[in-house]
Amino acid sequence: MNKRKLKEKIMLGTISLLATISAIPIFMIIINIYSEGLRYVSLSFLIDFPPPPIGGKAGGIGPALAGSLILMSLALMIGGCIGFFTGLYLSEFSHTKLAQYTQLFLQIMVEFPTIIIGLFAYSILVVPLKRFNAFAGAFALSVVIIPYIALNVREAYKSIPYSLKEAALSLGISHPKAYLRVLLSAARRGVLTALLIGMAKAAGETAPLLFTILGTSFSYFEGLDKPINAIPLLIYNFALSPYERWHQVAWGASAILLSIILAIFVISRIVVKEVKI
Amino acid sequence: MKTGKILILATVVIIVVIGLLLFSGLLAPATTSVTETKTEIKTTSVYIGTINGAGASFLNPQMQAWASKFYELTKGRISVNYQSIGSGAGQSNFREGLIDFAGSDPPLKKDIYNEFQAKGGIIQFPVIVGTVVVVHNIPNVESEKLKLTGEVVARMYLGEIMYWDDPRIKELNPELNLPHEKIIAVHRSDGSGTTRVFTAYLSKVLEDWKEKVGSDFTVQWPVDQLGNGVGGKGNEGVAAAIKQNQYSIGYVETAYAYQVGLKIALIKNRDEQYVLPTDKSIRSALTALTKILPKAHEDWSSIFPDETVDPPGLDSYPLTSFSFIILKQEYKDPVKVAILKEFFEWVLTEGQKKENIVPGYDPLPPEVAEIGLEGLKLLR
Repeated sequence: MNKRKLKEKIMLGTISLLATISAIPIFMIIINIYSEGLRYVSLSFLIDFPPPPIGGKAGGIGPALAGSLILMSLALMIGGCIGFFTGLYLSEFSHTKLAQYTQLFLQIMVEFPTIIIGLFAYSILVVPLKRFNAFAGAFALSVVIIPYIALNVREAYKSIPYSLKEAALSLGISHPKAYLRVLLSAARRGVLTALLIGMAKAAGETAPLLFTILGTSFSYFEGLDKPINAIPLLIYNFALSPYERWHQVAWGASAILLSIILAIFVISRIVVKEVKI
Repeated sequence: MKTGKILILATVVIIVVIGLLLFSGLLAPATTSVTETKTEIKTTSVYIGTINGAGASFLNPQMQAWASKFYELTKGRISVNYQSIGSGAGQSNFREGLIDFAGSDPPLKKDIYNEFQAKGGIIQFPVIVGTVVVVHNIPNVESEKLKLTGEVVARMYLGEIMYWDDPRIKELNPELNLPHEKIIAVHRSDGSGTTRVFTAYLSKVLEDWKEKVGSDFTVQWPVDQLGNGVGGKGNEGVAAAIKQNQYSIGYVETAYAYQVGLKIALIKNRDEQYVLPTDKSIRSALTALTKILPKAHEDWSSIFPDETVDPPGLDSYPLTSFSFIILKQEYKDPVKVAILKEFFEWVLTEGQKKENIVPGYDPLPPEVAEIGLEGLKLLR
């Protein structure tokens, strides 16, 4: 009897230890990025143009930050709308063949290497238009986030008790009204989380942008048909250089990017807590 | 109806954002906008706009320094956007017409050159001098002490010289105490202009190399088959591999070797002198090269780098190379032409002054800068 209890305790201890270990990298990444990067962050760092490798002003990540925010909101507008309605369809019409196949394809798409999506956007939006452009980047990011949003929205709607759905539909209002006005409020936690996860995903992706937006150094935004910059792209370019100054900018940019993503997750946590059915 | 309100709010926000985006797009100075301003000294048109270029990563730090300076000088009137995507990608994007100009370590490949020749022509000219250095990591040997010849280096990469105490190395370095350790030969794993220049040099100094391996952006390294070769992606990958592996040898761009603090080896030039990439040795090499360089609108692919490595001259540094800018001769947009001309004329004159050159790079001698200045006259 005692032996069995001991065994159980040992087993439980090992498992909790392993669980703790798996969380350690997250903390190490956060500590590492902030301890290296935060000291370079200032207000001018958020606004200024990137510096030359040696000489000149200290510079900042202005164009990349502006570009990232623009690309994130664009991707969320396109990907959020499509993803939301796809998710709704998958949940409420799950018996149809179309929904079943769509879901299958979305599940494959989640696992898609994002660099391929970037290449796809390059071939349909960059080469024919004969220019690198912000829209191609936003499009590629939307394609990346649609499956995440759709599958999470589907889960959100799926989790609504059937009785509630029945009640909503029995009010005599139209289907869209029932889904968007009554049931959305029941599913809003999940839907908001889905959108925020999509946004965080869009903020951190590098590969879809490599072939699409080119990057800029001396302009924030010149139009959807012009090149634009993004923080992950800037980090990628600057971290590989041999110059200390550019390494510092890359560290600072990493700290900002991490903050954006952490902020999104904190917001999504708060949302989940506050909104109760 | 709380959700209804949220939805309405969301829609409003989205519409406002879209509006802002489109509006700021209209407000931003487009490349096509021309302002005719009369300056006090001469009456010239002043152009506002952005030109987009991409290509060689080697060129990137220097281009950023130039672009940043030029942006200041023109008070934000002209922004030159250059992105580091690699010479190969730069050339192919330029071919597709996605960028206004390309930066490239080697000049245009022959087939692309011919293709452009058929539709309006191109110009390509050197903008900066770059050198490749042979670096090593032998713990007890300091930088700028180890002496090597091109032939010995080639035989190392062929796998024929396998140990540091090989008589052929000892002979060159009687004063050094070289250990009996295996030589680890580090090279680029990705396609690279640096590899192209380095292997062109090895082909020139050793017939065996030319026959067995040849020169290209990537080659089959014989030393890899023996298990003594290590590949690294980019200059940073090679630098890391050299730092991690004691008793290794490798080749990187000079700027990189100095920034990262790698030990540099002296190389014997054609006139039997051991040289480092210094102002003097580079100038000597360039003087020898000036005679054989073609004009900006001509095909450079057969000359560079096969003919330009290992130039004659007592002080000449053998691994002296250029980075190129490639432009079309014809652009649809006259504003673009004016901006390209203005910027690159500045790069080839003021830009070559010491204060505008990033440490690790070397300015063009006036004769070589002249190639570009002549070429820019063809722009229309």
